[in-house]
Amino acid sequence: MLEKINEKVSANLVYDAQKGAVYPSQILWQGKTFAITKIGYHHLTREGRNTKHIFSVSDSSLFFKLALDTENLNWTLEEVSDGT
Amino acid sequence: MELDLNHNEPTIMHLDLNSCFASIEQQANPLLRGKPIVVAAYTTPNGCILAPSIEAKKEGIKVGMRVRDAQFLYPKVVVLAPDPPKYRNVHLRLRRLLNEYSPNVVPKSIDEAVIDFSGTTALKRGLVDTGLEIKRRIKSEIGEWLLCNIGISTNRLLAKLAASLHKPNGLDVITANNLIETYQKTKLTDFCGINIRYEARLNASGIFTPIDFLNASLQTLQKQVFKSINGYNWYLRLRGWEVDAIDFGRKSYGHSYALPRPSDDEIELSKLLMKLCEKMGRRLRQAGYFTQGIHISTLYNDGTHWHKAMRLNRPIFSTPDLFSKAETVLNFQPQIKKISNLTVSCYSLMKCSVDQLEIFDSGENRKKKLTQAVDNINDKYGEYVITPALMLGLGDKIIDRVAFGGVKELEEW
Repeated sequence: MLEKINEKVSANLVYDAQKGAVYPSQILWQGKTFAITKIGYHHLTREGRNTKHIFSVSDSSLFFKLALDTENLNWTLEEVSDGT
Repeated sequence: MELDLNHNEPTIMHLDLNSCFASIEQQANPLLRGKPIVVAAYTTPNGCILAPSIEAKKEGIKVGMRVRDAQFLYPKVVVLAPDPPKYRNVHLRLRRLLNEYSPNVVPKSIDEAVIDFSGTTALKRGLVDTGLEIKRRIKSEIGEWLLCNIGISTNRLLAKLAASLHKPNGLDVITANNLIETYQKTKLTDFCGINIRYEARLNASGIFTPIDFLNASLQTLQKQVFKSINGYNWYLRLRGWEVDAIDFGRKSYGHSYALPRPSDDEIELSKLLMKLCEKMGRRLRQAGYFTQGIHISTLYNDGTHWHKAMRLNRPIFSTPDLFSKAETVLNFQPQIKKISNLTVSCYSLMKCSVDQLEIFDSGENRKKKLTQAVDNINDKYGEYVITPALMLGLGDKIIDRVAFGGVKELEEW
């Protein structure tokens, strides 16, 4: 079941200089910490000149669609799904 | 005229991402991998399925089915709405990857591309090796869940046919050496461009299989079956000669909307028409065109349809002008009936650079500057920051979609 959330969340971002990869490693949502174990896809979207990085990620049981707004560096949890 | 098969080395590759939208969703969400899922235009029971995953196809679910039919076949099927920005991102990354092998990459749709390797070093290496490397790189650089079919041949028709032989994840080559053998295993409708109507036409001339098609004389194809240059083109295509290396330019812009509830309400239809014109106008202006023709097409809830085109006596570009002309055309409807699908398009395009100067200022220049200023604001702050007042309250109606077929929009990026 996929649910639209659109809530601000706290996130840890990792930059791996050797691989040149950037990804969120964990998020804090509704007082609970979720460790990201898999990065499914990363792409960009544009609203006018503002760019958002969309990270499609998951832990062992939930999928999260996270958006990093490059204008204010805020993280938004856009969607959550349990894959059913 | 008797023409031999093309014995040249294959230089054309056709690449087709398998179950594109569904596979991209499974790539993004690892919890969906290995499960029957579908991407549908709408997730409601009447929504049309745009892409079933490979697993869903195994359950009998096909493109074009309704969501309710898919749920009947497999009750636990996961139904998702499309996410066009994600699909376009995959398309652009794929195109960048393919451009490393050849400068001549032509996208045929969001999930298909034709690569002409003529004069490239990949030919020296062999296209089979190159194809296998492209498959590996798609997995490692774009997404490990993405599979593609690759077909290699001497022309576009046969490369596409080769790409359809072993789905999913196949790689096939058709040359003069295995052409007959391949034709023996295929049907007429396996050829791109031969649908059931053309099949019936071929049948009427005694052509029932691809082998019959190949053996048909040029005269039969040209004078009896196709009655046009198409007969000659098919005669060449079937023998592996290229006739389809043509780049079709942009001819029109258009948008359509399927109304959730058919309507004949003038105000509702005007609002929808305005939004369709605004979307069309934005694309028209972004590509630097004016238009000299407006076309409206409607589908009614009784299954009938109507359409009308109007040639304009001067080129237009602004949304209010497009809307005004579109509404004029819509008012030509012979009967007021409930519309279930409304389409507006503009044709007869001309580049802005050939703008006609006027002796007396009719206000066109001011209109152009105002339109440009509004477009600039929307470019900077996002779509519909400034909109015509008629569009107020439309919200998310007429959302972003990926068009079937060509991806001219992305070619213009």
